[in-house]
Amino acid sequence: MKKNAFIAIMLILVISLSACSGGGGGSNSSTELYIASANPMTGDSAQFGDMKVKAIELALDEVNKAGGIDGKQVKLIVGDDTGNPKEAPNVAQKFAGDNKVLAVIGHWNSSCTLAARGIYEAAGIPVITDSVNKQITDGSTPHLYRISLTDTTQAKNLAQYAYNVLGKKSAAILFTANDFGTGLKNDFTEEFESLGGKVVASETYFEGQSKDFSPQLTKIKGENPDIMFVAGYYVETALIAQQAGPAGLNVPMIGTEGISSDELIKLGGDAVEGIRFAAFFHKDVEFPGTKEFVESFRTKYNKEPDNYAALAYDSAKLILEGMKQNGATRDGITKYLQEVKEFPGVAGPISFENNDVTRSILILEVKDGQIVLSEDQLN
Amino acid sequence: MFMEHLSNGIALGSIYALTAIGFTMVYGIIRLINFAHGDVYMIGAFLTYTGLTLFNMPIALAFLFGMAGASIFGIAIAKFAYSPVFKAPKINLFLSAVGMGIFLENFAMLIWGPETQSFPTVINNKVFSFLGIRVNTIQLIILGTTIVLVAILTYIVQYTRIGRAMRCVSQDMDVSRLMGINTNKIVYFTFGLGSALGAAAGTLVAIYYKAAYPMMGYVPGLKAFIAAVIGGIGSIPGAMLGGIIMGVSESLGAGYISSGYRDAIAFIILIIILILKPEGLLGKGIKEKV
Amino acid sequence: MGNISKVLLNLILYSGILYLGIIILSKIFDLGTKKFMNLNNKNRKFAGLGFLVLGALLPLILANNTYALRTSVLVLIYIVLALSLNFVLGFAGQLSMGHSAFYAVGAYTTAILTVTYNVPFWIALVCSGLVSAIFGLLLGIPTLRLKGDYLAITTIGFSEILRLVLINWASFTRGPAGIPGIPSPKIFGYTISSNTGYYYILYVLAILTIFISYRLLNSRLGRGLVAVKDDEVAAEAMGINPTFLKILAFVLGAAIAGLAGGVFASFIHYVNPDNFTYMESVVMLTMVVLGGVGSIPGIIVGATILTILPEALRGISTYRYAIYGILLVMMMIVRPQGMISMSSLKGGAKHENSRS
Repeated sequence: MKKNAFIAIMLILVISLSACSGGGGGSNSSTELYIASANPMTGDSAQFGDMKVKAIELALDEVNKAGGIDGKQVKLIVGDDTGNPKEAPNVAQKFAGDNKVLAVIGHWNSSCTLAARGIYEAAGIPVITDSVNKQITDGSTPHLYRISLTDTTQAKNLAQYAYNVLGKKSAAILFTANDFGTGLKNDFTEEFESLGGKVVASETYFEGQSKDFSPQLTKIKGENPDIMFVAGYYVETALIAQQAGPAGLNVPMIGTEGISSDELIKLGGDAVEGIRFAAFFHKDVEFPGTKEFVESFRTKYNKEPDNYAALAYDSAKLILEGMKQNGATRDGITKYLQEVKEFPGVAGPISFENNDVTRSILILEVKDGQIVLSEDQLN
Repeated sequence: MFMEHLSNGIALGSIYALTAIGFTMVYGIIRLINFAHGDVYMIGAFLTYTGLTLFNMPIALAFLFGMAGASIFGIAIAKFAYSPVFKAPKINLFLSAVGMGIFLENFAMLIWGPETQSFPTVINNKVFSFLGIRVNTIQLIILGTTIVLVAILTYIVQYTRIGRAMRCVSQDMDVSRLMGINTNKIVYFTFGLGSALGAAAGTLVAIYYKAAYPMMGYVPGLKAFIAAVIGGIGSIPGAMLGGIIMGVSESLGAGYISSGYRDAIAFIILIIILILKPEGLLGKGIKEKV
Repeated sequence: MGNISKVLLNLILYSGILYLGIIILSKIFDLGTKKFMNLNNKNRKFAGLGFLVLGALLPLILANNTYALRTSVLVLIYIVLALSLNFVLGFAGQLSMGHSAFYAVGAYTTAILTVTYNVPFWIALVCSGLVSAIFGLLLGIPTLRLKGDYLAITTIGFSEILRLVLINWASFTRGPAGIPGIPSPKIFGYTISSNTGYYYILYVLAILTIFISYRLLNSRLGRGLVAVKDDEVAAEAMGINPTFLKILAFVLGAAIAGLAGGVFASFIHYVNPDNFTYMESVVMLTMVVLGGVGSIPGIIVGATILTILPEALRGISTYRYAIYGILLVMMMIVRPQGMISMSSLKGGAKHENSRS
């Protein structure tokens, strides 16, 4: 009796521990191929992950409707990193240890990509990310490709735009206190001051937590800048724009790809009129397939695709093309990403150089409640 | 510049105060740190939002719909999640509240989606400027609502029959029951009222920022807790005082010290007050029974 | 809003499954505990040894499943963390909700020492324990006057302030971008970088923590702590110094959490302030309460269940945290004393129902 109970307890322990392997296992049917998305699906940044998954599913639908790859349907496994670098490695390990996952699209947050990249690398699984921290492609992880530009590139371009194109001599920065915001703040300051301008104020806030920006805006107003650079995402930027007027701060605002979304206008209303920002995608900048992508996204989800959606769609298309050309294996896809030149993406042609994409920056502007291509572009 | 920071602080503080009132009332009666209060605040805002957008209600009706809906949520939470745990060690009650909070956040995410919803513009916001102070319409409405609610609640708790019963329950639940008070009724009434207040705060904040999202209650919930402790937990005027103190110090701290340490300022004040006067500014000391 | 009926239906279904799961697990643990308590001393030692061997062999069993192995490493980290919190909560009866602060201090100490100053891992790890202990002392002294809810909010405040310092003091902590590239430890010239290696480091740390817990519980100090927890005034009258004992509990708990943090930093090779939020403290607290406050085997079970469950639920990602919330509430109602309660370990006495 005693022994039985003892064995029973041990068995439970083993079963409960191995239960987690059951989650990864599942069917090994050879009629399906799998790619994975590792993005925030719950928590503060869930809306971004949601957009990306929608776009990836659209890309897969198109391929599957056309008969799949070698007659096999391609399925998406969605992982949730909750935007937290503690969760990201677990998601990564789950995908890396699961042999049927051929490639991963994600993570959205730079901190998550940084925390997870070592695991993907050890497993030799190709990853396409759209997070921007420059350390991500420091050469230590050859399987990791970035489809967006780094924070440094964006910040430098924006600093040049503010100084050279808009002719502003003094700038204030309001940045979100994460790796994205601080990286942008540092690089923007460096570039803007080396051009001869002056950053008169740098204030910070917390994404997903700060709603009241009046002290920061009042302080910035006291420094009298010519322009304000908001280094953050659209929700907070909309709030900042709304509160700037009542605080008595009426200066032009610029932002990054983080605010490139129709949600900015929905949330900010009239207050966001005139904001200019960097982006990689706009529906009027047409490349082969752009129009069809925008149309089918709209039909399927009743929403406008944003920057992240477009990049996620292109990432999925790249991976699918890799499967077609080099066979549906991790190595095959990696090899394809290594060699791909001028892949026709909906956000422009894609080639990778040292794992970073080479693409140009668009400057968009909110005009009459619409996001349009700004008349003043860089260069 | 100082006057502007000060008026910003009072406006922000009145938001904290409004959230803290419902929180402190529940604590005063049941001695429960209602970690789900911030999430009821969020549910209230979303219900008003649904009333406005889905059912096309006029704002006053939608506002009442949000408050009524949230108080039903509050009573249901009290019935299913809290009252079965009243007799267990206090930490269980506390974790049950934490669990409820996590559930409500994710429940809202499942129902309304994770993205930030833009709240319809229902009040024409004008900026008034005098003596270097800038205030807008909604800030005045929030401050006004807070003062009116504090007055009404103080009246209910101090001068009505049910208020006397509430105070009685807060002192000793078992003896109250022996004295013929229906303690269950009082507990549910308190939760219903507290949740309706939370919903009012949530809706006003959503109108103010024109945004509602599932995680919107998390930080206000924590801040309300701090405001309530600073003012003396269980004291309704104390919650208002605590809220204003926090708003002003945050605003001045962010303006003159560093915006990165803004949230730390609230906690530092809290720790100082707890060490110097643990019962809070307007709270009554609780003697430990031997 | 359109999917409300589907969401509600799913939630009811999951709640039902959870309820059944809790009932079944409770029955199993009740039975197991009873059997174990009926064993004589020799057989108990034999059973304990069996568990030890099983734990040591686990990496071999899971050798070809990296995900399960990685999850087991996390289970061990949380076992150590939950046990360290138990020093404060279970032994001293202090409701600390800022335990992740010590975990953070430990992780950052190792990260900064190894990356910025090139200190070998093992020395850095010892420093992690020491620095965290100092923080425990600093927090322990001023908070002694506070109790219950007030202590809870103060400890939350402490951990939030610390997190803000980690974010804002960029020149030292590298701010929100975090510190990548934390090296793997070396032992006898051999680099430990695999999950298995970390498993054994943590396994040793976990056993050490369990050993300290038992020694403390059965020593003069431990009995003093229990007396202070049950009735501080009476204990003081008996000549016990509650101040000293409470600080000791804080310092010990902090030091062990710091060690866990140091190993964690090296394990994921990257630290970031987001790893150490207030939710992390709640998770540790939940593990202790779900397992059974004060009960060492209970806490091991609690940490195991609550690390594996979120991983097992990955398949239904959007419902995951909603279910976690329901589990917490349900657990507190159905089984408030925890899976393996302290009283069941003392020979099946009636559950204590007093408010602590």
